[in-house]
Amino acid sequence: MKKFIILTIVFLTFANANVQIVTSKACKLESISKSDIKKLFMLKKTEIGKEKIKVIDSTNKKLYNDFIVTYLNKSVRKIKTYWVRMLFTGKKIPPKKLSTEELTTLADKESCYFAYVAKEKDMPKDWKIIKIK
Amino acid sequence: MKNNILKILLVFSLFKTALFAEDWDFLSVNGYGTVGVAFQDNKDVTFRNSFFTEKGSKGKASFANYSALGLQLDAKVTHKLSFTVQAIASKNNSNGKNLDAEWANAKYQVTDAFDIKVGLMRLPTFMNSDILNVGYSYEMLRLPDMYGLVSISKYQGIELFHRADLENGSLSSTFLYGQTNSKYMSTNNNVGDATIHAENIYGLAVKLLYNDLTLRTSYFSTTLDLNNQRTEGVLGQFNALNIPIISNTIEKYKYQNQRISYLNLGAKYEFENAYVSGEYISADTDSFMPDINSWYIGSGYNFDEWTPFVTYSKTKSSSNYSPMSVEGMPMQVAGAIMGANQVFSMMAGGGKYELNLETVSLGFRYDIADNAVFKFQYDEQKRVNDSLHIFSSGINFVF
Repeated sequence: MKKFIILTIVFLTFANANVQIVTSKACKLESISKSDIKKLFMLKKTEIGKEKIKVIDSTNKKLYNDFIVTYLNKSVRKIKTYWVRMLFTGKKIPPKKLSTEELTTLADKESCYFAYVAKEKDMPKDWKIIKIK
Repeated sequence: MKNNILKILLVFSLFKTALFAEDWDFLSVNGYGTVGVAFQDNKDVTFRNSFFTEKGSKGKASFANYSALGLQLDAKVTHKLSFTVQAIASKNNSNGKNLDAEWANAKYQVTDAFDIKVGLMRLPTFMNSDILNVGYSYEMLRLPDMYGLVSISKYQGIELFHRADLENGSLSSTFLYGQTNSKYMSTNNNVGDATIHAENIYGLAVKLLYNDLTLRTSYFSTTLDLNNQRTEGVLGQFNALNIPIISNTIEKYKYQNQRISYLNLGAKYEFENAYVSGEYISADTDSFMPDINSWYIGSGYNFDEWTPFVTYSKTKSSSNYSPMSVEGMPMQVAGAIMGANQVFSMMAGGGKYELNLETVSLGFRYDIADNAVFKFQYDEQKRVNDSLHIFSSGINFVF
């Protein structure tokens, strides 16, 4: 039983570690804290330093769920409720959802976008992985 | 009602088609709804969800209690300026009609932590009152009794919002000022409907989020006019007697230009997959309208898709009216005063059947899909002379 729990923890750690935060070419930020990632993706913050940041969620359900558990530290159900509440009280509109392929074809090349991918090899062209402090 | 829903769906489909074009990216259209039914077997009592409607279950099943369809259009004009319009089709609308606007405002995001809204907004009286129509966002199908007791639910005015980030949470404050109109629909033919005008609404709501704990308090005050032809007629007749003590009493307790204040306290604690929440409200006035005190405590546990819950709620009203003294009055005047005392006491005790409640609610929420949940709820509601057994079920969805 103990071995099973340890293996599960190890597996989950590696599975979560696969979610990489990536930024578009226009972003100047080199690193970011986990707490700022949470604030950015919950739209509690839209800029860091003086840099305005737009965030994009993933249409890939598994990736989206992994990201929420790993970086937002909430259950998927709670995040769903959070966005419904934010949206229908006119507070915030949830981030746009795009696939990893669609990130490459984003028309707006001037803005700084934050998104996430499952693995390093899924990196959209011209995007970079940002260092987590 | 059917026509209104069709109109909304038509507008919605046109917008959704237009929004596929990237040029319309700054616009978003979203909606929510509930298809729900309530049944209680007492044919003499109407079980309704708010004073805005006379519709509800009265010895047979009713779709009026919960069913609603809402549509929201958001336009983000610039990084800081956005507009929101939300319309709803429901029998519980505060204008007494099937179709109403819930939100219609412009928001200016001054900083990430501070924004200003101008226009039509819902009044954040309770923890869930700004999201009351979106059943998907909470566990119960019907929220505790206090949610149906306040006769104003939204306002036109200005709202300032500020959020301060703390190490493990945040402290947010909302200050608002405005005015509104609504309807009071009577289920008693002897009373009749009333129109409500509230002005100089001002208030403050403060919410503290600390890890899994939410604490909230709000205070609102307004000057209220409640206009009802029958009560005005009765008060007019007593006024015409030209007896100073009666006229002064009418002036003191009349339904117009009366200050009323609401104080709400709320808390929610979430641990593991469980939650415990509770709220208290006190409505205070010095008029023929009664004071109200209401509280509830509830809990639930989330087993993946299933969330059973239980809630206990209690509401009490008290009359503000102190009868006039007949001491030292001539016989004829004393007779008129005693008559007035009887009528005024009845007026001040009005609504007691729906303002003195003890309700136990049991139910569950089942998450059917990402955007839809099924709910069942059983309420046992003790009133002054009755006990109601209410069975409710419904589907809440967002799109």
